[in-house]
Amino acid sequence: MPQMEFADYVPQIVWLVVAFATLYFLMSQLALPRITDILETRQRRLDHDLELTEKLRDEATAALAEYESAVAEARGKSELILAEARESIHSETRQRLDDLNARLEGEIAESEARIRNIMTQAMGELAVAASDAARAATERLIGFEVSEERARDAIDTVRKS
Amino acid sequence: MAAEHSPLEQFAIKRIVELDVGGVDISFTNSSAMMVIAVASITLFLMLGTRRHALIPGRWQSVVELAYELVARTVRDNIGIEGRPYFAFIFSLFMFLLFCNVLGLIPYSFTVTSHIIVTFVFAGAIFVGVTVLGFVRHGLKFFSLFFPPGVPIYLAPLLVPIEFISYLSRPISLSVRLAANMMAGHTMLKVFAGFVVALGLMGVAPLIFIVLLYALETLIAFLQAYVFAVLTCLYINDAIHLHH
Repeated sequence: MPQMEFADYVPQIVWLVVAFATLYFLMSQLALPRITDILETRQRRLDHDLELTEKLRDEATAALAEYESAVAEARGKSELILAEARESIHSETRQRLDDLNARLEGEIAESEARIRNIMTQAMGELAVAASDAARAATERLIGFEVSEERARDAIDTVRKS
Repeated sequence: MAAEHSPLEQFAIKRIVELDVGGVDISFTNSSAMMVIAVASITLFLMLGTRRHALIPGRWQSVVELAYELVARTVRDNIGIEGRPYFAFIFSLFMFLLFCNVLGLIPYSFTVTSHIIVTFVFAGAIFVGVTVLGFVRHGLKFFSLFFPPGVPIYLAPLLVPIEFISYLSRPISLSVRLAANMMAGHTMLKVFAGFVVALGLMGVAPLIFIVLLYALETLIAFLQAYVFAVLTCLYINDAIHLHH
């Protein structure tokens, strides 16, 4: 069994120590620092990118909030403007309606006054016509000429009674 | 010829260059050659894999990082933050054993780790190192490792010897586990390879078996290197924290 050849032990031990010491030196001085550096660089980069992403997300959130508040403000403003416009239309309409009413009332009053005038005038003409008729009738009936004043007085008296 | 075809012949140490320094035999053997190849392969594998310092790793660099992360996680999980100083050692150990195991699977190569003396040098050095570490960190309190707290005192005469023997057997179990695994696997491959030749056309059956066995041996090559590294971590953890 070659494993039990004690004469072969010494060279194996010597070379094992040499080989492993060399390997340990190469690993601890060269290879491992290099891999550690690569991994740490990556980790730093990841952390940095993550941080950046978080910052950007926060910014986006802030922008969204700003936008929403702007929209809300605009909506409030537009409602105000709408209410104002409604109010102004409303008051103008009422104003015009009032004006129209006033004008119509004035016209009605005027028309009524005119009608009254016409009636008074008509009444006056009626009185003249009546007195004329009364005078003519009196003259024809009793041959008595009645003066114009007396006839009108008489008619007035009759009308008033 | 009989010796030539013995399944154990593959483990023979062959001196390539005879060297003798002050009466010490330091001949460069096939075992030494495989160790040098392993060290060179590991270094090239790691250095060439990371030559681009890529932020987004390619396949090769990913494998390098995977190996690094595997050992780093093992050290972190088993020892914790105090395991940091031992990381380079555990990493070198794991990579050396892994490469020796895997390179040994190449036909006509030599498996360094199939020799008990190689694994025992590692296990013995770890045992001594861990014991020294324990005494340096805890002084005589390190002996409390043999008597876990919370155990009734009357169990001490029974428990302490058991714990002590189990502590002493660590380097043996550690070294034998690896060497025996490597040796058994390679011997079995060789035996069945002999069947392929002997059976002629019928040799297809053992050939298929060899292919499957080869896959299993590759897994074992990795697993045993990992087990060795994990157990080393556990021993260091024991020395640092006394009780887990």
